[in-house]
Amino acid sequence: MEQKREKLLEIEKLRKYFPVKTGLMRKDYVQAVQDVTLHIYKGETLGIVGESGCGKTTLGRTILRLYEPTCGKIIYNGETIFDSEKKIAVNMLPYRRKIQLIFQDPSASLDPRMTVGEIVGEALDIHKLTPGRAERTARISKLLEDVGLNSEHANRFPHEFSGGQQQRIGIARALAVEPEFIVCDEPISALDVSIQSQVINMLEDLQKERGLTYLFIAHDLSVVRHISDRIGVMYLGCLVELAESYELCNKPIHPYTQTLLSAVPLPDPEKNKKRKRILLEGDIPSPLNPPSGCRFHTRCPYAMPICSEKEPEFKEYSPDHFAACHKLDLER
Amino acid sequence: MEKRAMKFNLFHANVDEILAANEFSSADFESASKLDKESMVEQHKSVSYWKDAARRFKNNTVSMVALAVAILLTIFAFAGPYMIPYSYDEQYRGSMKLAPFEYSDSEKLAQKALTDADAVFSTALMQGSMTSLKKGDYAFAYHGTWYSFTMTKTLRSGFLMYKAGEADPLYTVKEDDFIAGGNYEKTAVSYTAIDGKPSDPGVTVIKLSESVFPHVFGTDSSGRDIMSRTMYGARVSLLVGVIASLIVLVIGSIYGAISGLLGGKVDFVMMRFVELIYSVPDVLIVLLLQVVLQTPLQNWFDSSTVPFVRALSSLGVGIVSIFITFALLYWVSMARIIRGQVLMLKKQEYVTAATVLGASNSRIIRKHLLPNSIGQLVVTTCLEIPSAIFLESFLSFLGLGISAPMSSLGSMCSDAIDTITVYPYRLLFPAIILSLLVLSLNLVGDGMRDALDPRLKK
Amino acid sequence: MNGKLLEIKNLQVSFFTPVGEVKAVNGINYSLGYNEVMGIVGESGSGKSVEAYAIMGLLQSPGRVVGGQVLFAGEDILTYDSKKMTDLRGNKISMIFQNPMTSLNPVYTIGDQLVEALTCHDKNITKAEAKARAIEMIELVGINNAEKRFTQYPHEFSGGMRQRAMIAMALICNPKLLIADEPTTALDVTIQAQIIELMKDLQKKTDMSIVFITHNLGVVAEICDKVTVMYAGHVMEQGAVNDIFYNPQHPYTRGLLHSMPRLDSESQERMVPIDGTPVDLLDPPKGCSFGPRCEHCMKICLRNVPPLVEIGENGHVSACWLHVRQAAEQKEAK
Repeated sequence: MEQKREKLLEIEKLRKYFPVKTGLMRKDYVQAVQDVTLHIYKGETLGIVGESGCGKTTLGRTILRLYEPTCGKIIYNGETIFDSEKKIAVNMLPYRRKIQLIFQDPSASLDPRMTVGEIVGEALDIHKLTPGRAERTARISKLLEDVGLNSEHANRFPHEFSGGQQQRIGIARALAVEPEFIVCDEPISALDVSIQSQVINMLEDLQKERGLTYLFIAHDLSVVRHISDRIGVMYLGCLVELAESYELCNKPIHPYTQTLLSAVPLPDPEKNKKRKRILLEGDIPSPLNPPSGCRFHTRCPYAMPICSEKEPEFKEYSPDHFAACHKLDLER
Repeated sequence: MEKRAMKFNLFHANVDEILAANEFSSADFESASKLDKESMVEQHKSVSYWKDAARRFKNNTVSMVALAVAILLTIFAFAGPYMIPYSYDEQYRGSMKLAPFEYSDSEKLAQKALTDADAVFSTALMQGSMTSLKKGDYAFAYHGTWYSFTMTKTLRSGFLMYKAGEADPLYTVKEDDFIAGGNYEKTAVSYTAIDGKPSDPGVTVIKLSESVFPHVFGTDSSGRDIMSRTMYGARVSLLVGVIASLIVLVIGSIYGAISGLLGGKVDFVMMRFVELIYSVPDVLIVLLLQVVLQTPLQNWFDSSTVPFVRALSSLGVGIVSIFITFALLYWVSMARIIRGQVLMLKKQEYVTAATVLGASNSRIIRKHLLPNSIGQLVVTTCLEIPSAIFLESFLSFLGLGISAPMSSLGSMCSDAIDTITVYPYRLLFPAIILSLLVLSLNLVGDGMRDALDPRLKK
Repeated sequence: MNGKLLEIKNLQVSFFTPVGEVKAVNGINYSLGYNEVMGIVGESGSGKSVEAYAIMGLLQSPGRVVGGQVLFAGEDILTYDSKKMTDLRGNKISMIFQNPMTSLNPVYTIGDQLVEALTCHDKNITKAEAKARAIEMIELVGINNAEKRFTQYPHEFSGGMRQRAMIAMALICNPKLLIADEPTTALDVTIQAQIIELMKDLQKKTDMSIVFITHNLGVVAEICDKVTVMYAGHVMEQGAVNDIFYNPQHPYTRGLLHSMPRLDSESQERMVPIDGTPVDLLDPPKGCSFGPRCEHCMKICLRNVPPLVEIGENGHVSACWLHVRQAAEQKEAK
């Protein structure tokens, strides 16, 4: 019996364009995120994959309203925090406790002049979570231990730590406000391979312990598949497919997803030889001037005339399996 | 854990050969404990940002030498006057127009007198009104004890000498008698020891010299010791330089920080204003300001009773107008630099992280932007100081800025121009000190900038 | 041909920094035949890029080769003077780098740079011949509109195309050996797939050998024939690609393979990470550099550097005391 799962975050037709001057009088837009609609259930991990220019990082930051959305709707836990039509844009300060961000480059995201204790404690200070000094120190120590560091590390500076440890400090900082939802923006891309799985395991453990919900953004499909319950694939600002992890990786229906999966080299020489690879022609177009209609049509092996004319609708093709592709409509 | 010598071919070794060639005990193959493993991994010594910068600075020979020179010059300027007996504004009639280390006739006489006595007061060596010992009460100190005596007759062109151990230790001698040579007439003066320095204003305190200090840099036409004046001038230059650059720092950094933070149209307008000021020919405006501000400032000083204004007036119109000039015109380069720094810092991920945590703008400025800008601020201020010193000297040289009786290095140079062919040392010494000061401070600033540059961090 | 094209013998490279000597490469050994692809796998600090630069003679101070030999077609190229090395580079041994944007000169057209590579090494070639060969090369690496692209500047190329252009420049003089330093790390995965196919294709066509440096084990499994696994400047394991992936012997190799999430795995079971943090090269552990992080670490591992022990016959070697212990136990059992 399927229990109706509670949605923590819903976004509808979210769009983010960046204005860019391309001529003396002309103003163009980088269409970074184009009409993305998705939802995330409480306690789950939604992975977002895509290559450069797909807008996944912009999506994460727009949800946090670090960039103000150009249009669309963001609903968090039932409350509308942004709606371009109804002109709603709430003050984000109370939501800063609930939604947090983990950064890709750990060394850049930690202020080099502050000690680790101050970095982690800043969150406590901003929201006045620990009125007493002793309590504050105790909390900071506990947070550091939760992420696998020592409480005595609180007096050191970020540059004294390795990349993996710096990322742990970043995670401790995000946890300090006791969030419900964390956007993980490529949290392990900058780390060594042997450290990546340590951080992944830690994120999974923290999720179980604290009932966290993750939006996990990465370009490495293998990692995303491992940690996510559902995966969304983005191409040039659009969400092209969204399904449960296993389903997406084994039965992808969008041509781009199929290409992406076949392009990932496996650590298995014999399997690689046997695999049939779908190779795309050409390079990824620029988001400044995206192709008309379906943005993938210029490289799609199944492109039809309608693909260059009309943008495909993001629809459900089988239970909980969404995609945006004209070819799938024909097959129906 | 001691390393044991092992015998094997380090590459492509055959197991059997290894076993045959070496002795292994079962202890070797025991699992290592967590403690054993951790002891192998040492936490390597971490260096804080400032220590790293200090190390880089120390390794830079040029900067270290420049720093030493700058420190020496500062000591010269501030502690120097206590080490020589001459003051910058005292005119010694007997020692006019002397070359470096040259002694005037009067001084030579005094030196000669000192061979016969322990301490001497020579009227010829005194400045201003003390060229003669008039009738009246006097007091002096010798080796800690104070004595007082009365002159019944005015002594003109003579020596007051003190020789311990004599029957009459204190006596006067006429200069002419002394020059004649041979035995000279000594007129005894009676004196008494007193408890301490007399507070009675009617008693003139005089100082007995035990040696004649040479005029290291010579004297000018009025008999003023040039070294003392150079020290004083250096002091003025340094003070003006530091205060002017502090003014520039405060105005420029606040302006630049606001402009960089707010961005957008506000930044646009603020920067156009900066460019406006840049485009103004600064020497012209400076000269105009100096001339225009003279009278109003003077009137303001004369009429005001506010203590702050009284303090300002003691500095003199010249210096205050220099400060005003700086405050009006020279903060622009600092503003640009700080704005650039703020713009760069704004984009840093840790600022984004603070925003995500919910930090307010003011918190971000206080906790993140300011501490990370300190390096740049310090370097820029340090490099402003020599510019300010140079500008002040330039103004004083032109006759604006510092006015007599105060002197700065620039005004000294200006005074010395007329007599450059006859007395070149009058220009030489202030010019050398000024050049050394500006050069060393510039090199120190450069060295600091290199030391703090994060890109050079390995 | 079964002679050895490239033989690295006990190569040692150190960086003499103000804070101490960093032993970046601590004695590595491998050989590469003709028409073979050797993968050098390691994380940051393993020394994999440093040894490539040492081979090409491109090490900059404070780095220096402090020992060992690099035999290219039988001759020790470490002893070559700069003129001989310049002749060799681009001609017999080529190199491609991770970031194509910074490796291409932005003020010259791609065509100019290709022609320059040719004329540097072949003084007799005419301009027309060079241009024709350059266009041929551009087509060979899969760039369409070769004639037009010949006249374009690097900024007019996309990331993947720039990497192709770099490959064209590297291959234009038909080198026998190509050193590829993380050529696909900065590329998107679909572009990476294209470039790897291209390299495989070209390698077969031109009979070239490749030293492929990367930290991505998937890419190694795609393209390499032999693999060397490095950690902290030492070789941990070496062997044919199937041996390394299907029969890894060294705890580090095993750790890496088990700690990577795989796209083809059936479940989302928990990964087994490798404990600890990467080694500090300023003060490396005495004994096996992987020891402190190894779950099988023994007392001898902390004391003595393990020998590269032969396993099997294909040249599969692994530097681990466990093999010695195993052999000792077997001997005792007899």
